[in-house]
Amino acid sequence: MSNKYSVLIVEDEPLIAEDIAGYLKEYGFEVAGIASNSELAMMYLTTKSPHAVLLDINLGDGPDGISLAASIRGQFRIPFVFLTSFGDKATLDRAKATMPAGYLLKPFNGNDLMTSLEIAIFNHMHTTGAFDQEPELDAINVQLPVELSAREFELMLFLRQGLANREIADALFISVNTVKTHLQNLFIKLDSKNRTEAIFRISELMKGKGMA
Amino acid sequence: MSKPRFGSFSLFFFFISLRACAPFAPSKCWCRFSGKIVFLRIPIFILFGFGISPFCAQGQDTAGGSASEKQVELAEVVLQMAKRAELLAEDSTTVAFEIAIEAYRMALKLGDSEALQRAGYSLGLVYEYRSILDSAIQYYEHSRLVAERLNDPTGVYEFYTCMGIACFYQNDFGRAIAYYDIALAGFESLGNLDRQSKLLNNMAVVYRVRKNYKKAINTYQRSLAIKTQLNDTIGLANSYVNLGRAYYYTDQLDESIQSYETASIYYEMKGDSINVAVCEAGLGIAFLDMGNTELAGRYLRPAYEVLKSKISMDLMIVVSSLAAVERIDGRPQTALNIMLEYYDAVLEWDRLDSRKAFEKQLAYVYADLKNYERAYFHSQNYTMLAEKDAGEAKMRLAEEMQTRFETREKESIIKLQKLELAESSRQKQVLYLATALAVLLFGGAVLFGLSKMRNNRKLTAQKAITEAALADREVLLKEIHHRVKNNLQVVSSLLSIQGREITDEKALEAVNESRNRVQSMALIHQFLYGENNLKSIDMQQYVSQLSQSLFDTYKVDHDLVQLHVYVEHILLDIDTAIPLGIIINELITNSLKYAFPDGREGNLTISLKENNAKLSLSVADDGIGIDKVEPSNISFGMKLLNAFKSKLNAEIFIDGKEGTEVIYSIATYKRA
Repeated sequence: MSNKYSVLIVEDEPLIAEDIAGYLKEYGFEVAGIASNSELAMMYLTTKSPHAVLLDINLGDGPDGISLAASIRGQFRIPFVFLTSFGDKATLDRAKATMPAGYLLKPFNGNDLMTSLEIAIFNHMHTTGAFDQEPELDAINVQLPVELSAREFELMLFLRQGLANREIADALFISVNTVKTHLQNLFIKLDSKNRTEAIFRISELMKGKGMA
Repeated sequence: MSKPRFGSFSLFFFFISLRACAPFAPSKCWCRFSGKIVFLRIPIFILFGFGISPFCAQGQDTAGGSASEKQVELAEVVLQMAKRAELLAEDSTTVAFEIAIEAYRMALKLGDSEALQRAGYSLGLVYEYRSILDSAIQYYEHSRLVAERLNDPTGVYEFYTCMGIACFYQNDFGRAIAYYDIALAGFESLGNLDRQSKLLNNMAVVYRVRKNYKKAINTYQRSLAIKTQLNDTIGLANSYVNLGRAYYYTDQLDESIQSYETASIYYEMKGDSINVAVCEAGLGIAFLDMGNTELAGRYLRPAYEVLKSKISMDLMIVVSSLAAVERIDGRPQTALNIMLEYYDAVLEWDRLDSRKAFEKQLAYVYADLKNYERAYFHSQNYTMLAEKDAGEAKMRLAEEMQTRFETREKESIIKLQKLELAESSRQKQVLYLATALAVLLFGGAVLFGLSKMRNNRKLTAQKAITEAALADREVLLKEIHHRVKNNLQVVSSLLSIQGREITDEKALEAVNESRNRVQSMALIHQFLYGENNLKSIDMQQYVSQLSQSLFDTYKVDHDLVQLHVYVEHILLDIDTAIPLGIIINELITNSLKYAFPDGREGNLTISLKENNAKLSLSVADDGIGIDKVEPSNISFGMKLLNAFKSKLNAEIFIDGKEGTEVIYSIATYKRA
């Protein structure tokens, strides 16, 4: 398995799905598959074991995304984010009942998409105890081609707490731009494109899965 | 209008016909559950497959043979609980729900697919009884997927049936038929005649409720043929009752009476007095329609005696028909007494058909009693209900079309349907007024003297009618905005996908900007669809969201460029909002792209206010000033600004020496 975070797209409009896939790849996620209906989605969920799901509500004639969400919630225990054009209260209430990790309205932009996905994954890692254990710099550095500096490691710990750049900057008494520079270096060393991937990668490294 | 109907009972035979087809009816218990350890060896991998599952540890704790014995035991407990919940559902949905949900949780924990399937069914059923149909469908669907994994085709089709039933209760007839179709084909392939006949019955019920009586009769007859083959007496009786009902609606009264008589004989054979009464009720109304009040009364009175102990759809029909008999036979006071006894119950029952029959009969009875004021009141009620009924039928048709047809074909048919509906809703309005007027004239003739009271009532009635028509239109409008928005999203995605392939920077920029423009339009439809107000766009919200979205798209650092939005709470019509949205989009884009080069810090301020009958938009930044920007860079945006100038009757002022301020002052605009 690659060390990328894989996301399943459930969307019955092929062009929109393709566009979402493009965004995901741009931001360093792996696309586990594009499912245009519930049946296909279930197939991908069982065969590809994605880490998260992006879900449209309207899926043509079959069961809709909300009933699929209930299945995901009951069986797969992975986070899912609704991405839909339904903004009315009735649908929203119905969707809320499935306890999604996020709810995004079309028209969407890449930034919104990635932010909600990152939050969803992050919260999920939290609730599943992925952060219970503290990483150790040495144990991680052994597995990396280029070692992390102490500062980068410190930043990474903040990332794992879910802090935003501004909060990290305040905590370390440095500027936001400095934080960004450190993060860029951190991402490169961890072969990641974004913070979610970096956090995920660290979790993998803690399990000793770094050497591919 | 066709000849008067004294009762309309589309849902009449409902429970008998539908429930009989649900799986796991008490007569057919799920013996498959007991003792088959084979299945227990297959854990639901989805539960245990992830290290993150909280149940994982528990699953591993139990070990060896004793564990699997315990599992069998637990599965049996789940099964018993599920059965209990199903039995209790009719009496107390709350208790049944508690049990069903607990059974479901246990089944999940246990990881036993068959237990899960059964518990899912129970939970679905309980939700159905509680009228929480979305959830019911959800759990049926869930169980269906489990059945599919277990390679249990009968289970799969039975759950399709369940979903069909739930959809039916939800008045989602298109989907109901679609699910039934799948189930029917499935049972046909399995050669299961019993299920086929019951499914056909269910489908016929849907057709009947949809008032497609021809198709209903046809389907009942298919069901009857299978039942005869199976020698299923009760099934035959049920189908004959349903046929009787359908024939009644198609004015084939002789056939109707014949069907009821046959059914009645079957029921008598079985000693089922309630259903005999139901048949008598059917015979009674058929004779009433033939004008034979003597025979009608002879059938209706005993039916009434049997049925009166419990409020039901059948009882309502019998009561309104019996009242008709009494009234026609010259005993309006008796008729009134019996109707008033049940009027509250009918209101509470809240079924359109029963209410219609009651209101109409009450109007006649009061007229006979020369109480014209009451008669007028009830006839008004009737007219309103009838209009509502007609409107709902149309909506249902449109919905069904939507589900039934394949994508392309579907789209075009729905479009036609909608156009037709929009057209007919206009015609309907005229009709509404004409009907209202006719009724009012009648009222005026009998009631002159009480003009003030009448005037008030006139207004209320008219208002109610207009409101109903408006509500109809609103649903359609909403649907259209939804579709427009979806299409705009597709266009936006199209541009975005193409953008990823483009290497030339200028070209890429052009494509991305076009995508932003499309998105700014889509956002307007999002607002119109999402809000309850279909006509107006709240510019305050719109501008905030649009500017935020552009900041995101251009990856602007909020620490460097600060956004200030000062927009009054103005509600605009879509005709003004769309061009204004595009203009705001252009101005913000220009600022973000050119005003703050090389990490320059600054402010972007957007304001919109209404002054002296003019709408004044100002987008200002304290960047390098537009005079220093290469004109070719902004020429396209400027072209757009100018394009809307005449339509909006606008003036443009640009100050670009220190920073840039563009003021777009609009004289022709529509508030909503």
